Amino acid sequence: MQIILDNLIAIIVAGVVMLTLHVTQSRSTHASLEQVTSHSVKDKTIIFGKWVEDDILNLGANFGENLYRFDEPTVDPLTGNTTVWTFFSDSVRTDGTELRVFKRYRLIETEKAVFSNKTFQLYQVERDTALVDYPTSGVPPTTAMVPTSKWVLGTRSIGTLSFFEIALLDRHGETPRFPVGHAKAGEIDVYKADYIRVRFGVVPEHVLKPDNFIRELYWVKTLKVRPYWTPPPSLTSGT
Amino acid sequence: MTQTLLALLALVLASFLTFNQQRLTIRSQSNMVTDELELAAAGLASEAMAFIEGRSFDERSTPEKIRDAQGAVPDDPSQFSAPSTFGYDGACDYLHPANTPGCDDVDDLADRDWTPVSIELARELVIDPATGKPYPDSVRTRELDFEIRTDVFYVDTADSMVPAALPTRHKRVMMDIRAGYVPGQPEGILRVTRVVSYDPIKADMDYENSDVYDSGHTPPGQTAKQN
Repeated sequence: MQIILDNLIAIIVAGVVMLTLHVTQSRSTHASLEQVTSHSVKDKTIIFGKWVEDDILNLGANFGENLYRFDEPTVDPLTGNTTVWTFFSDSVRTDGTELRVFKRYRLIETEKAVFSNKTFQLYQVERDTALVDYPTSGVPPTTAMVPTSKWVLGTRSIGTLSFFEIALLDRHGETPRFPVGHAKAGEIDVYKADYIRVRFGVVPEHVLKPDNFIRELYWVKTLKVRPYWTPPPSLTSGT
Repeated sequence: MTQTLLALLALVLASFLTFNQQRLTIRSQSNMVTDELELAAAGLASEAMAFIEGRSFDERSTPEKIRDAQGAVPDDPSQFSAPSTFGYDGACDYLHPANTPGCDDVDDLADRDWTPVSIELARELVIDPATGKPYPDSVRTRELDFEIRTDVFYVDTADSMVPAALPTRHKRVMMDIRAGYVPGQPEGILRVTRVVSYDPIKADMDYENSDVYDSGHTPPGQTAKQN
């Protein structure tokens, strides 16, 4: 007891110093982890963005003029996410058979993440491919004609997307839709889409406490699709 | 006395260490936020630039002016607006040009001061624990705010940065983006520039795809298109 009382000030000072060092060390570790996580999520965002960009730039390859090369995206009205989107390009096999290459993005729910007491649903984009042969002078198949067994799950996917949206836009930034009175009134007129805009957010894989300083990385790319020289059929007829 | 001095020294050293560590952490977090915003700003710039390029090259090459000229598409730089007439008094929407139809050509974006622009992030949901699905009326939109300013001038060639005194076939667009979350950067966190070159085919195509298209007009040297 006497020893403690004799060295009371020294003990208090030592305690304060040790506590300070511990807090400093702990914060330093947290900051390092946060940096690594942040770097990783940025890397993933850019790589996934590049994959999507490649797909869109190759979309419609080997197509003739005035043929649309993507379907209308299916949108979840609650979250605004694109849940399914199919696009295609053409190729020729060595034996001369025409080949239509379908690619499909499907948005799958994965887990839920909580940041600052707010819940976010996370998603994964699954990318399927289907190769369908058709006769050289025949009518190319549509997406509805692709049998389920033809779809093959591919790679190029990340599982921590916070949202994923694909929009078909005209040069005025609006989604071109068939006018009232048209047989397809309200549906997107894919022939009149000048741009495809892809937006998505990615959140970190590891939720650190306190919450990560960075909670969501945003990526957007607006790409011009190959222009149509002749006015699209939707402008020239009521069909 | 010696003990007290040593204790004080230890406290000073510990405080110094903590202060230094805190400073580094704040700097690191500030850099991460700037990084995140720069990535978002780069995407925003690409989107805004795409819609600037989507506009008509010049006031004289808009679909309305081509219709007024009986379908004749300008093909000589002397037909374009003089640099002194660049700019537009009304509003210009960078991401939804349809909202500001008067701001319809590239040089309308000249000398435009900081304009607020928002991008939408993932929507917040409140999950119903019973079903694991969000309550339908719980969705809240989240936005990230930026400001954009632009300037436009003629350049002699597509790789020139020097403004040209007379109309040419190339207009350089300078775009700055800033975010209020990054203090001390009044000039913005990102500058992008791109040259928009005149393309008479695009001008003709925009005219043909517009509401003002008159199929009775046939540009000189062309035959009417068959669909």
